Amino acid sequence: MEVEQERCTGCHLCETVCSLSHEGKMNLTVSRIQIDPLSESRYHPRVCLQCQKCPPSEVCPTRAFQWDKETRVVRIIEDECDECGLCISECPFSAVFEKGGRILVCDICAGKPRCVEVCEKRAIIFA
Amino acid sequence: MSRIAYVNLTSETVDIREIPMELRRNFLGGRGINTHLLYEMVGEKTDPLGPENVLILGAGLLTGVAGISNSRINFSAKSPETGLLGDSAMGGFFGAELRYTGFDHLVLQGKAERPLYLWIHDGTIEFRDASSLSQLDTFQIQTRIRKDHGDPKIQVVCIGPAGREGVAFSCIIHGLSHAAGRTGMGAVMGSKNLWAIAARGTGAIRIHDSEKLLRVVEKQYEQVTRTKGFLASSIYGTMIRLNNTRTQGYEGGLNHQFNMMEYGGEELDAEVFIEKYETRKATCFGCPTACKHMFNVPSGVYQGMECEGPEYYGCGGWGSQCGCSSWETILEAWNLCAKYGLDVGSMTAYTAWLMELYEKGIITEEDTGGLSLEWGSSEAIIGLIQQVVEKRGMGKLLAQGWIEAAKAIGRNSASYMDHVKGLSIECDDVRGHRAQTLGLAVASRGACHLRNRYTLEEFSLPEEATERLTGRPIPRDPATYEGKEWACYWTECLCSLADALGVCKFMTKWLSVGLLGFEEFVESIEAATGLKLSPDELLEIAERIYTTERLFLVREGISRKDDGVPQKFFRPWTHGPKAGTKIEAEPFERLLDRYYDLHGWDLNGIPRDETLKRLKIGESG
Repeated sequence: MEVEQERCTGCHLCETVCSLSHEGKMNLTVSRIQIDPLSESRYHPRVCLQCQKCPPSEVCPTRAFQWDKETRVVRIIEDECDECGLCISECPFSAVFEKGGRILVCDICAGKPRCVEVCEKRAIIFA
Repeated sequence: MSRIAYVNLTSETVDIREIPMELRRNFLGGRGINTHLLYEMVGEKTDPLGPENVLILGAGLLTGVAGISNSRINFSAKSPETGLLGDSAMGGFFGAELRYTGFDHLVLQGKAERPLYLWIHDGTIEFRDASSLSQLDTFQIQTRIRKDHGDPKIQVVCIGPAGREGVAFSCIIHGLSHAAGRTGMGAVMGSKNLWAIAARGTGAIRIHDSEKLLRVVEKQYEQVTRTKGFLASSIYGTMIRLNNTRTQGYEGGLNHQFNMMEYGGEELDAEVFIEKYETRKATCFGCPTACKHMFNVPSGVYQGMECEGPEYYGCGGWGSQCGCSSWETILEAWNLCAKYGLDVGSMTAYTAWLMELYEKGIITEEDTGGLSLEWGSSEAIIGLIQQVVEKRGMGKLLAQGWIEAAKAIGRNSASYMDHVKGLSIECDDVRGHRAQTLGLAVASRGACHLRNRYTLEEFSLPEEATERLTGRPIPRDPATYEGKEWACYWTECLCSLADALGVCKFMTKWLSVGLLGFEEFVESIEAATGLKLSPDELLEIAERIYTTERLFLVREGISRKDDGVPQKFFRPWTHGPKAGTKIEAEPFERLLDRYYDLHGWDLNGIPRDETLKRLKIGESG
């Protein structure tokens, strides 16, 4: 995943489809991509960039937070997560989130990220 | 949860009620439920600026839900500008945020004893002291509230100095240029001592079938983003109409004295703005278009001025209607109106009106506080805005609205104001388009293009295409009167539904045939809410909304005599490719007959008893 911050208009369409597809809910706070306002009409999309060197996966004490070498995608084994929150503080892009005691991170929708599909301005790109 | 909060500003108490399913089925939400509540809660004796008036905020049924531009929220009250139906829709992000707090509608009643703002967060409504906001403009208020609460995601709607001072055509502002602009909703908010409403919600909107909704969103996204209308909007926004109206001869000039200007006018084309001033695009919740523009003035008197906008009606209003060809004056005027919270639609029309009165010698510099109101004068355009907010010179009169100003000026000045039901008509000159002219004559909030304008009339679509689109063939000739009642009625229904659902009209067939319409609404409503409604049932809901608005007007004494257009429309266009076209009284009256009949209203424009029974409204409700 790549982010082109300058292109983001802050429409939040990405957050709405992420919330719907992952949680079956219409609630932006459970979206795995978060759009932060910077100033009027300027926004910063925060989403996991699927870094090969993923600090959260390296520090996770229960190994619930993993970077899968085969799929090259981050995943969380929810049953093994003790919600310590270390992954949140260790992600250099602040792209790991917590809601209601659960850790949330982008899983690229099995190779076809829905947020990218509805980003008309190409502020988030999946290559 | 689907709730209305009745907020009593006098007693600082809140009564929260569930929205009954029957109300949802009959009126959906947004403008629909607002209209029902307003009709029930105010009457012909209600003083628009008295505590007995209510200001109702209504997010659409789909506002905040995943979908294409589900962003809108309506503000409704009895209008202090017209004395009739007040209603204005706003885009941006506030409507969605309000729904995430757990409220769909707010009914603001009474009058606060001290300046207040409402702080709404996750099911709670708090009354906060707003005395520290009393000297701030609309931009500063929003920044201050976000800073005080330490949350940049808070969304705010507020009034500026114009609303606080009770200027009859003041508006409610959100962000830099989202406005509940027309009919003076800012003055109603100000009369209640309410300076702002701030919302931050982290809750959910309940969805009936999330997988189905996801499929609907993806399908509609593909559909919408492939249309030419979408492409044009995403580059030019509403400004594209500057070029269209100029080249086709209906831009409207010098207070509608002419259908187009004699000079070229190319300097005000959208491309010039984009090249010289636009810095980036801006958008509303859920909208991939981003039809709005951020701009910066790089040099000259207003060097460094940054804002968002302007929309077509401001450009044409101060442009061809006031004879101004300076982008920088228009941008500064736009910026000031947003900061002060003044409706650009009225401000531009009032300025053009006063300029014509000045030209005719009906008013002089003695009346205007020394301001020379020459056509095209930047000093006049900016000066009048300042006068209104400071209530001095001509602004002192104008702040009460044009009706009171015309009474004070006398000398037949009212006959130079082009309006319908007290609301000024917009900058473009639609007399060559019969469905659009009918639309102005019958629009429920007074002259308005967003109530019912059959914009497709300008494309002269073949009858087969209009039959597929609307269910009945509509003649392709813009100048014919035949079949135009259906064009107006169909668009009225489309617009009423868009406002009840919270969908931006620029993403609907109002703008372009490939965009969203009744069938797409059916899919979205069912997936999001579980309500199964056919396109015909949606049409009936739209009719119910529109006829309820008509009942509101009838109660105020409105009838056929008020469903007309200014006398200028009966004079021929003077310039351009369609010079000579004009509205003819007799066929226009017959068109009006047919329009009433479609609605089930009598020849005086009063809804018939059987219509009220069928729609289950009025005393039959």
